[in-house]
Amino acid sequence: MSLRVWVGLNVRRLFVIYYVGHSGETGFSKRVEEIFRFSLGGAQSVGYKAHFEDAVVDGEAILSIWLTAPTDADLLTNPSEKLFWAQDIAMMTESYIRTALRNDLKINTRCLPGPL
Amino acid sequence: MAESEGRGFGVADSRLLIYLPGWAKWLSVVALLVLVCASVGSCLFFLTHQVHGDYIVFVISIAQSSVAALVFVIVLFFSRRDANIGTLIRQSDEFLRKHLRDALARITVPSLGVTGFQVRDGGSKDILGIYFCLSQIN
Repeated sequence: MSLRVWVGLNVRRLFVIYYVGHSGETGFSKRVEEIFRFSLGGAQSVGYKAHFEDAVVDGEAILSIWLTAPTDADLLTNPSEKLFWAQDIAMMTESYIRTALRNDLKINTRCLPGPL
Repeated sequence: MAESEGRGFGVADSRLLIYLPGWAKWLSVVALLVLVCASVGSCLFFLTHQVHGDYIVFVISIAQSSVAALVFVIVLFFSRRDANIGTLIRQSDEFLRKHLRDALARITVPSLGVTGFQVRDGGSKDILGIYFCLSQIN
């Protein structure tokens, strides 16, 4: 299996973007939001905000899951902050993959993830 | 509430950092080096030529101060706490391309027997982000 994820860091704000292949069904966005309620809900406890947006990118229908989190101002100069956020993004991504697989979601999209 | 309100300065607070361009840092170091060399040289000259009086006290004082200042600016400017835009961009890249990439490689998916991922750096995309391609290694 494979997955593509976009991660951005704007000094003290982190962005993580995953694309899920859109099934085309009505209410897909709400269903996916409910599927990830637990795994992304945990991420919200450390400050992430999750946003879901339907889109068509390079002809492919996707659902963009866009997460942002404020970090400490000294993230770039503080090793413990770096380790915390690197491992936290990895844990969130692991939970995302496992949850998607349990729910038969397509997480390997053709198009590259990024800001819409 | 603004970030700066309601709390004091922490040891590693970014408001305590000195933001200087590279050329200004090197100019400071070179100026202090010149001062150290001149004052130490003068001390040695006065001592070897048996010069007495207030001059030698003054020059020793300058030498002590300039050595202390040189050590201080070297620690301040060239430690990991240093910050200017170029350094911050380099540290952002290092965070994403090294620390985050290493952490992503440790993801496992037991239900598929996946014990790790090969993480390919897909390169910069958009203003400040990088996309990673994770492929299972077994």
